[in-house]
Amino acid sequence: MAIQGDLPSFAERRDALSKTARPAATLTRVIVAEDDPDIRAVTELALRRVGRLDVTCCADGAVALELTLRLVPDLILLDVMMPVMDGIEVLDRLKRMPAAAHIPVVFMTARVQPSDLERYYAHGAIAVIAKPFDPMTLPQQLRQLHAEHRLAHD
Amino acid sequence: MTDPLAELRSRFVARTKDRVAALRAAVDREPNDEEAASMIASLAHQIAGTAGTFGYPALGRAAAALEDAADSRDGSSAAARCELLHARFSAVEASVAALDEASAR
Repeated sequence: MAIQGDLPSFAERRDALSKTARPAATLTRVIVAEDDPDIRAVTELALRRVGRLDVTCCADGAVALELTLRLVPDLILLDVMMPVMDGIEVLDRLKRMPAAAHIPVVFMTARVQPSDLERYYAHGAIAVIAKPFDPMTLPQQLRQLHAEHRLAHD
Repeated sequence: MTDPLAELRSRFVARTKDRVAALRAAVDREPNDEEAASMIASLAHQIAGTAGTFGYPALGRAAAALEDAADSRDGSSAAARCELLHARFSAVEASVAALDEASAR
């Protein structure tokens, strides 16, 4: 079949997967899923302008999943309460995907009671950033969380 | 050099103005109605999660208090907390107007 020639070989797919199956060495590409347009805009501005990161934003969890599979980011910053698919559901689905399960997920939310935090960590979040947050220090926070996560997996 | 946050902040203030107006209308109309309480909690949650990030923590705290009242279906507390939220937002508007005036000079 003609299309077969365009498909990656088993070895190529295995190599690609092994490259993406552990956290990236440095934080470069981040996906942000946040339904509030103001928070989304200020987060994007901070990560792009202050953090010099490659940032892709979306407003709901379903789009975040699609973007993750396409872009394979180094970290995902997820709002918890979102339309279409909430952050917990996104995280659960990511954890079931071999090509994305290794990507660290950080929640950002105003709901940070101890019982909430317990739930976020039980689902596999590496950290939780409480809203409100300081946009100027957000890039450094994410770099640090990413570095700690990377160290834990070395 | 222009403040890159200035435009975002003015958009936030405009959006919050609409949200506070919607909250006051909902609290005035049906403070004990189940659907209205959910809407109040949702709108207050949005302000609570946003205000502090833009540098207005008192507004955020007032919104969080209103969200708590709405979540516990406490209509009379919601009414009082909504008025406090409105007062906090008026203070934010006044400070933004003063800043705009000063930067226009």
